[in-house]
This record gives sequence, structure tokens and C-alpha cells, in this order.
Amino acid sequence: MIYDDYMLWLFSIKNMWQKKIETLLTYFQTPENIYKASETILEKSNCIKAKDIAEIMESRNTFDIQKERKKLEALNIQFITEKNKLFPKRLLHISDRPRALFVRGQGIEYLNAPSAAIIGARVCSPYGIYTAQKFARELSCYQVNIISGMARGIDSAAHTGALEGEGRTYAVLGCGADICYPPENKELYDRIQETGAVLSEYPPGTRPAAWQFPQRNRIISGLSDCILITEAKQKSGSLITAGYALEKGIDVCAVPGRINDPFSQGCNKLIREGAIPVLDTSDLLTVLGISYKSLEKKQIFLEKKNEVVYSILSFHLQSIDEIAQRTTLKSGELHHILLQLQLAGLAEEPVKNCYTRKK
Amino acid sequence: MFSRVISAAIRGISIELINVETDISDGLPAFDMVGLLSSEVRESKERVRISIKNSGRKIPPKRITVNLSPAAIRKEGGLYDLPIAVGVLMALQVIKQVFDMKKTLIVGELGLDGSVHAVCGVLPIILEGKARGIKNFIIPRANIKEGAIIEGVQVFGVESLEETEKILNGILCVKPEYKDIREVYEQNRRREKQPDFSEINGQENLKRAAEIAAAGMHNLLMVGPPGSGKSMLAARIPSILPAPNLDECIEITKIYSIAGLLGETSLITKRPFRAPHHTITEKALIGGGNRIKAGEITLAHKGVLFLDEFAEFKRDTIEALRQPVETGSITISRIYGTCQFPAKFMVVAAANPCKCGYYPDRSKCCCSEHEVHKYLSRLNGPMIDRMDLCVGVLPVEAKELISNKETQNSEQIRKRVSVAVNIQKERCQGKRFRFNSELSIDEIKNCCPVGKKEQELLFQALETFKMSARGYYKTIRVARTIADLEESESIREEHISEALGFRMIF
Repeated sequence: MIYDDYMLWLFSIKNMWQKKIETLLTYFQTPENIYKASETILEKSNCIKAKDIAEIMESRNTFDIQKERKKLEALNIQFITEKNKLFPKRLLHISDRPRALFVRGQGIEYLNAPSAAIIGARVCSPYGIYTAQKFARELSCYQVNIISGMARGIDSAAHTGALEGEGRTYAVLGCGADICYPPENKELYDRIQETGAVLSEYPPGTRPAAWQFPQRNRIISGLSDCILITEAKQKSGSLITAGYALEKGIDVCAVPGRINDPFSQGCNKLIREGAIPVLDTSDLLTVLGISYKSLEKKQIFLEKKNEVVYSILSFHLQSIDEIAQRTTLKSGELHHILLQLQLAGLAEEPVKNCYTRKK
Repeated sequence: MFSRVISAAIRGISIELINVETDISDGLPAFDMVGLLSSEVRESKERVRISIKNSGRKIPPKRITVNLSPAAIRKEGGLYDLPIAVGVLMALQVIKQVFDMKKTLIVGELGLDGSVHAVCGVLPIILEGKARGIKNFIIPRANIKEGAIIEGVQVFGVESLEETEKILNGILCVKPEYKDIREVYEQNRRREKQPDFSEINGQENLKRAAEIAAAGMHNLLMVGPPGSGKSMLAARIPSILPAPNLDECIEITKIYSIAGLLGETSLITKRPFRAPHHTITEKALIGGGNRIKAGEITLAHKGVLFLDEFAEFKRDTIEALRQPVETGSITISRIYGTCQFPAKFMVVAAANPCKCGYYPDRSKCCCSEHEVHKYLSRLNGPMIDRMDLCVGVLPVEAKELISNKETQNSEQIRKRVSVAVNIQKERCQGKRFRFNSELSIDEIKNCCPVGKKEQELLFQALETFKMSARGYYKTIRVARTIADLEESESIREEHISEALGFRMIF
């Protein structure tokens, strides 16, 4: 067995999470030493509890490296230790890094390119979705990797935006890399792997558990040059990621929102505390040190009446009655204009008979 | 001695005439009743015996046998007390036949003191009796209002057995009650008070959806948080449907008469509005039970069935609605027979947009998009396929709630709806009348020609919104109604667009 095999063994032990691995490795230096240590030495080391030692003893008997390798191959998952040259360079510099990653996808070697994490709350408003998607799409055009957590809401929007911009995007999961969580993101999960990758520090088959998600946030921040939070409530998991980023000296950016909007409170607070407010993609490019060149912009030409309705629409939900009050249009005409705007991709109907602007 | 009195049995909403035959002969004293009787009819012999005694007549110690024929029909309810008592008195020759008993129908329930109490189903009984050539009807005085509106027959309301005896013997001469039905119809219509559309401030889009739904008898789904006025609007839909004509009123009144829900009115002149609670059982909604009774859908016949909290109804209950919604009637088979009930109604359903009910108001709702989606997908099913319009509702802002802005009243909307309905009637000339919502795919091709520009718009929307073929035809049906409302011969782009604006969320 070589170094990688011993590491894989260590990772495959039941309940052997990052903290325990870290203490063991600090004491024993290499995974091989752990594998070869006798029970008494393990006990003496005082690194882990008796229960975990029992797990180690048992796994030595049951572990079959050939079988494990085959299993990973069947799942199309690469096991990359920190000694592997594919291991993301940025992660090497952080203290609480995972010693190895399970990776599924084609784009792992490109992870060292400029990267930005775009994250935010799961429960969010159309505004948050819009900003996450817009910035992800536009950064992708500058070959910036978009890193996020594939959770519902903002995370999914960030990945979607990156894919729209035909860039690479990476998802760090809080469960095994072979598990698509949340399940409705199956299509996204597959598409991310075509050019980017899905990463996890948990061995395949690990079910999603609540405590694993804040943990993976440190990897998200560790992989990025800057992080952008588009929407977060007062208490949000994204703020944990922002905390990790600050510890590591990574730039934290936030999209400002209305002060009375519960969804933007976390972001606005971050800005007050010194985060960089992002109003435009150029703001992010400055942070990343990439020179801004204006992308060609499509001019939108609309008929007079359509223009009027389009100008009334905003990124916040408006019911058709609210829109109608600001025009003199009849019901049929207004529906007709809103339909045309939707077909042109300029408006959206996220909730029945409530509309928002899309571009 | 032998006597025969005519009475009636109710089966579902149809009426059968029943012969009450009484024989009194020598033998051991007994009072026997035969003829497939339910328990309350069997109990009737005690009421009859005692009320005859308390009316001052004596029953001799003889063998009395009462037969209700035909024996194949099950007899239920208390309406046989009076005919049995009259039969016994006739057999005793206390009542001498001044009336032609072959042309006299008697119904009524007796109290122990000889008083006559109200029964259900008097109006349909008289109508059926009249059709079978019966001339005289003796009914409880409490039911006289509904009985008096039938032309061409003599209807007497009685208060006690004694009075009945006197009338039949010709001792008491009373004039039969009669009120002109057209007069009653006009009078009730003038007097009727219905909740009005003008009481709803704002919610123009919702009102518009209701108007379209009413004009084409399209089923309507409203999605919105509590307190946004969904129930308030639903209760006002009957007031914008075309006013029921006399025949329809009689049809509705017949159903309510049998169900015993007529109350003080003689003729129902407004369209029914039924709002069953979401815990309702399948049988209560559709009709049924051991003794077959009309369900809520039959009580909503010619009117509106409002299903509030649509997502909370049991799935089986909603599923059972599918067939009656399609055929306009329901056939119920039970051990004692099969009944057909009419059930042609408009379904108006209301649902919350999410579990807590407040989505998209994020200051109150913290459901995730996933949860919202999951909740709404609970609505999906066979009934949703039969709904043509879906409208999103948000609560009205306070300033609009108290504004004095002129709002349209039901009468104004009803006028427009009636115009649209008349256009549909004209289109159906020579054929059976169908509302736009009932048009088959063939008929859509015939009477809803869609222009080239409009077709293009439809296809584009179909693709963008990933709509099904069913959704496509629904859109055309609704667009046809909108065009009818605007008195436009052809379906134009904005009609299609508005119909698409009210498409289903699934």
C-alpha cells in the first residue's frame, strides 16, 4: 500500500471526521504510522476515544484496498490527497484543510485559476437569485471559476449563472460526492461535472447531515480568491463562510439590499462591518485583479406600451393589480404586454400573477 | 272493510306514487304494516293509532292490516302517517268519500295529538302527481308555501287529522291555496338579497378572472394567502352568473325541497352556493349513504361549489368529483336501488400558496422554494385538469381597502356575463347548448378559429411555459369566452394573452 491507500483507509473509517484525522496525523505524522500503530500505542497517544480506536482496529481487518479503489472507480470519483499535484493549491495554505478530497467531474485541474465563491441563503427572494445568477454569469465570461455549495436558493442560482456564462463551476458538498443533495438539483449536479467538479471531504455514501454543511463552508472559502454573499438574513450559514474567509484573509464582498428587507440584513451588516459592497461586476473584477473590458451589451428596443410596463417592473415582486394601478391599460392588454415581456425573457412570473423584471 | 289512499315515495330526486291499502277484518286485535318499510315507517303505526284516538275517534279491537304498494320500492320518512290514518278512518267508514280518492294524494307526518307536521319533498311530489293525473293534494299546512305555486291542481294545507277528516267528508269547505308561480318568481327575485361584488375593494384581476369564469362556466382556482378575499369573492360568484329562469328555479327548489332545506321560501330564485368544509367525506360530497341522499354537488346544482382549502381535502374525495364534473350528473347505486342526481355546477377552489399560507410575503413566510413547490404540487391531480382558470391573489393594501373608489356591482357584471352566455347560445343553435368550458376538441376546431398571428403566439407560449396539449385547449376555451365577453367574433391576440395569464400553475 502506498501513501494514498493509507489515507483512503483513514478516510473510510466510520465516524473518522476531519478533526480526529488532524489530531492523529499531528501525532503520528503519516497515515501509514497510524495503520501500523498497535492498540496500546493508539491508547497512549491520547488522540482519540476508545470507541474510535475500536473502529480503527476493526477497519484494519475489513479494509480491502482493491475493493475500495474499484468502488471509487465505479462511482467515477477521484481520491486526491494533499500530496497529489491535482490538489487545489489554495487549500494547502489553510490550517484546517481537509487532507484529501473526493472529486467527481472533469475540471479539477483548473481549480487554481481565479475563483470566486458566490453564496447566500437557501430561502431567498427573486432579487437574490437574480444577482447571484448575474454576477456568476458575468464573472464566467472572464474565466473566473464560480464556487458554491449547490444548496437550494442562491447557491443553485450561482451555479446556474456560471453554466449560462459557459464557465467552470465547482460545488462543495456537505455529503458524499456521489449523492445529489438537494435531489431536485440532479440536472445541475450533472452539468457542473461536465466542465467543473463536485468536491467533498466525506467518503462516498455519506448522508447529508446538518453539521456537515457549515464545515464544508471552510472549503468553499478556502478555494476562492474572494467570496460574494448576495443575500443573507441576520442569522445565516453564509455568514459562517464569511467568518472563515476573514480568518484566512480572503476578501468578503456583499450585495447591498434595502434596509427593511429581512433577506438583505446579513449582507448590509457585513458591508457596515467592512465588507466590499458590490454594485457591478467590475467591483468584483477589481477585487480579483482582473482588468475590466466591457462586454457587448444588447440594446433592448420595445414598443411604447411595453416600455411603460417594463419600466414599472422591478426586481421585487409586484402583483398584476399593483402594475395595473400605475397604467391605464385594460386587463387584456396588460396581460398581453406581460406575456410578450415574458416571452422576450424580460419579465418573469415567479408567483402566480406576480411579476418581476428579469434583465 | 278495505280502503285505498294514494301517497308518494321519494327515490333520490324522483317521485313514485304509492298506494296505501288498509283492510280491517275480524280476528285477534292487531295493527300490522307490510310493504318494504324502513323503521320510521314501521313506527308510524303507533303515531297513527294514538293520533286517531286523540282526535276523538275510536279504533275497534279488530285486525288492521296496512299494505304500502308496490312492495318493491322501499318506503322511508314520516310522510305516510297521514295517508295511513286517513286509510284507517276510511276503512272504518268514518270518512265517507266525498273526494275522488283515486285522484287525491295525501302526505303528512302526525304528532300524537293529531297535529300534522311538515314533510320533505312536497313540491316534487305535487309536480309528479300532477303529471300522473292527480287533482287534489292534501299536504301539511307548514308546507303550503311550496305547494301553492303549482297551477291546475287543488292543494289543501291541513293542520290536524280532524281537519283532514272534515275536509274529506265535505263538512269543512276550504278553498284550495294557489299563488301564481310567475308572480312568486318575480316577487322573490325582487326581495332576494345576495352579497354583492361592489363590497370588494381592489382585486381587479381576481374580479376579472371571476367574470370570465362565470361567462363560460369555467372552473376557477384561486391561490393566495388567507385574508386576501378568496372566500368573499367565491360567495359572490352566484350573483354574477346569469339569473336562473323559472324552470331552473323549480329544478333547484325541487332538490332543496327533498333535502328539507327549503326553510321559509316557496321558490328559490338565486343560484345555490355550497361551501363544504375540507373534512367532508366522499359520500357527503357526492351523495349516497344507506338511504341515498343528495350530496353537496347536487345541492350546488346550477350554482357554485366552493372548495376552500383545496389542498387539505382528502385526495379520494376530490377524485370522486371528476366524473360528475364531466357528465353533469351522478348515479349512485346502493343495495335498495340506483338513483341519478343532477349535478351541474361550477367549481371554485381556493388554496393557500404554501404551508403557512403567506408566501410570497417574506416577512411572514419562511417556507423554502422547495416547500412551496411541494405544497402546490399537492393540488395537482385529476380535478386540476378540469379547471380552466387559475388566479393569484395577494392581500389588498389598507389604503385601497378603505378607498371610496367606485367599484362595479354584481348587476353590471351580470349584464356582461349574460351577453357572453347569449352569444354562446346562438353559436350552439340547433345543437345541445354547451358552455365554452364544455366544448370538445372537435367543437373547438369548428367554433374557435385561431388566426395565424394568434396561433404563433400560442405556440411560442406553449414552448416557453412547457404547457401540455390539455393546457393548449384550455387556453383556447378561455380565450373564446374572453372574446365573447368583448363581443368579438374572432379570437384576438390579447384574448389569448389574457387566457394565458390565467393558466394553471402546473
